[in-house]
Amino acid sequence: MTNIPFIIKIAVKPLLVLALLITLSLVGLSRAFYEIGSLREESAKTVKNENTLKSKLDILSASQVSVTTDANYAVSFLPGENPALLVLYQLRSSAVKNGLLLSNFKVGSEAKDAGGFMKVSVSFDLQGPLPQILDFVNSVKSIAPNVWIEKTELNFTGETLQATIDTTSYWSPFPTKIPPLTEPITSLDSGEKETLARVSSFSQPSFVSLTPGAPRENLNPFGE
Amino acid sequence: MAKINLLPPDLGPNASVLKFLNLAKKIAVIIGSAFFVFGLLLIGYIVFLRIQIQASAKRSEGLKNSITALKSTEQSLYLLKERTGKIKELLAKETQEDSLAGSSSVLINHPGVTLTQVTASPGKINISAGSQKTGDLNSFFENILSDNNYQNIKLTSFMFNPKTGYIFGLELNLK
Repeated sequence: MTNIPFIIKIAVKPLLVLALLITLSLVGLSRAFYEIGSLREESAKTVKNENTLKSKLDILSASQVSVTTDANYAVSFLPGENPALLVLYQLRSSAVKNGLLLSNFKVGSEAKDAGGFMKVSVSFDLQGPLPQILDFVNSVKSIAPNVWIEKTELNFTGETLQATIDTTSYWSPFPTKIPPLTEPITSLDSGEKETLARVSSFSQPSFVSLTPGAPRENLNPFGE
Repeated sequence: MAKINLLPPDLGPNASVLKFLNLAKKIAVIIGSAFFVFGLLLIGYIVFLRIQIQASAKRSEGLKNSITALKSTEQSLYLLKERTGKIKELLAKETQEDSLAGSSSVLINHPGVTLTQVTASPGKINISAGSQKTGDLNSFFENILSDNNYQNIKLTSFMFNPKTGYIFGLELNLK
């Protein structure tokens, strides 16, 4: 019994040091591992972000030259607003090219298609020889903006052949938002390239844009 | 010089206790050294990860600036992809071949047959015509029958009048 206090006295110090070391090791290690885990996660995220940005920059740099022209072709075929006027311009051009007389041009009201597209119906009369009317009908398939012939009525009873043609043209509003900067972007795939190649071969409407003149000073406001 | 212990041996620690304490000391030294070395390694790794993250964030910032400089290209590319997707959808929807364009040979080449009215809608064409002679009528029908464009050919009306000749109506369904 007299030995117990002395044993405790000499054993308590190294045991305490040992227990303290073990506790410190466990706490320190778990803290370090937790820190490493979250840092690795953050590192993976930043590296992924960096790779996304790098590939985005590569794609943008590669497509910088042609993308505006290509987008113009696509927008010309499927505009963002009602293309009735452009359709009239294109149909009239095609009719003139084929030696036909285009008249009675009517534009219907706008409607929403089941597929989410907006559409407008356009009808008109054509007068001229049958082969030219058939050529005109063929040419409509390859003009921009898009025009789809719904119905054609050919009337042979009068002096000249008259065709009444009902068409539909579609458009779709432009997207209002572009994805965030860190969102990945892909270049055009083969299907998209094929569609674009087809659309870019279509006849495009050409306009002469007139720039407004600068205001000029009128030296004699009361004169002519 | 010899070690002199004047304490009675009963008061001294037990040999097994001393052995245990010695072992505990050794374990404490080992754990302490391992903790020190391992701790240094972990701290090094943490510092390395932090530097890596900072460098990556810096590079990302540079890339963001370069992308912002190409904002108009990005907008055009995004618009182009959106439009081509929709155009593809539209072209897939409107696949029906124009029936009038597909029937041009029948409509142009018909000696002895007078067309009065032709109505064409996607996939279908209706023809109203007349002829004075049976032979011309025969060759017109033969011309249509030999054309591979049509899936169904329906004679919707057929009349004969001694003054005007044959008057008939046809409905042709394209393949």
